[in-house]
Amino acid sequence: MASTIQQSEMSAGEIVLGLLIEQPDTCYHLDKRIAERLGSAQFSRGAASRAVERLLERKLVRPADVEAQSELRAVDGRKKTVYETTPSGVDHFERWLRASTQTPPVREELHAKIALWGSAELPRLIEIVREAELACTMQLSDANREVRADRDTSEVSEWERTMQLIVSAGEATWWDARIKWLQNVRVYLEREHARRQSEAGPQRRRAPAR
Amino acid sequence: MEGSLVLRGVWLSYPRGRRHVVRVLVDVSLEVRPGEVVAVLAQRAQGKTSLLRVAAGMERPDRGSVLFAGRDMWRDGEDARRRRHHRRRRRRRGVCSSSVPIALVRASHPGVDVPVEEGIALALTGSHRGREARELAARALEDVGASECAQRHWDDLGDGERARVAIAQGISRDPKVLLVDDLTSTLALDEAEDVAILLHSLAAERGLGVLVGVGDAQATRWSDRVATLAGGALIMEPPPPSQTPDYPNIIDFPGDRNATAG
Repeated sequence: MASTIQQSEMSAGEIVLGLLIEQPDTCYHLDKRIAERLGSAQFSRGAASRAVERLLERKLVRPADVEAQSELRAVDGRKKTVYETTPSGVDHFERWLRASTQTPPVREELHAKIALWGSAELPRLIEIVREAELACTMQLSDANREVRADRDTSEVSEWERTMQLIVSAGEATWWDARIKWLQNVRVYLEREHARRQSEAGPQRRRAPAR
Repeated sequence: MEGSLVLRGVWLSYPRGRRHVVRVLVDVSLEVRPGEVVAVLAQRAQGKTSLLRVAAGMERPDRGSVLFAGRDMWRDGEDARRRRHHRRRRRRRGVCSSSVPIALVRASHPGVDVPVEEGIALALTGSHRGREARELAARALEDVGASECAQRHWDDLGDGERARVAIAQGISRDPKVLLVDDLTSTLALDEAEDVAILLHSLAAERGLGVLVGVGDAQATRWSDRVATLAGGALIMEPPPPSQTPDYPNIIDFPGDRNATAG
């Protein structure tokens, strides 16, 4: 999953910018708002603070109201800095929002493993694929529980419901693609393994006669 | 567990031509407990329907067992014979079991061209008097929120309405386990979600065990557990720990399978 995190952190900056334009906030709350808005499939905890760090370097965000230092908000009893966007941050976000969207590259550790597997024992690779399939299934299940919990607790308007549905469908589609790809890989590898075994079978039987 | 449907080490294959067999299910184990929705996510032609038919007792597996409420559907020969005998006797007296333990639901044409409420009632007339059957049919349609479809014909219904009517037919005999064969793949996003929520609440309210075959991950949203099925092999997360593990070692851990199959 390493590459998906890289991929998502590239756009985490823009997402954080967008959220800060809506309302200045702390990193802690930004993480929460990202999860609410985009689902938990693609962003890890702490993605917001990493993004804020990079945005600070590029002067696209700044601590809100530096002079007064009054804009501190308590999180778990500690005071945390509230960030806001700079004019150039707003400008960057506007340009990004209107630019064409890139197709995310699909590079995963497993891709590389399959590509480099060569003639090594197939059962182990099949097992790795199986483990990945199970892991995806369980993460999908977790995501389902979260979506349901949100849905059960909140009274929402028709528009909000539609937006929730669209977001959750996006997340589900992401898992769907991954699980189906893994299924296809597994079925193909299992078939190949069976073929190799049936080829090796008769030879093995002949061996003792010699 | 009381009312659980359990598949244990089920194998199924179909002959293709004289020499070949197609392996449809390979060492599949699965449990559906009362009140939970289990979704089986599989692509087309990967054994979803076969799995449901085996679970419904419509298809006999080559190997393995299918248990409902702790009873083996196929191996309990003595018991099955006794049940058949009783059923025959009761039928002669004009009474037949009013409820079924397991119902399989598909969105297919009922075969008789009458209004849907009458169609559901007709299917119940073997076990109920006409008026009672009608009342049960009406109640089932009400329970799935399809009362307004009662006097319409199957051909005039939309896909979403058909799914609801099919579920109504399924629950009209008050089953303990409902098997649902991909009702939502042709539906729009919000319609599909409504049907999924319906199954979720039916399971929760009635303690109904629901096993649903689905073609995409979005349709698993309202299920309690997700399994994936491909190449005949079912991969599934273990269920939450139960108070009393009635059936140990039936959940399909990938490691276990490799140990037994290898």
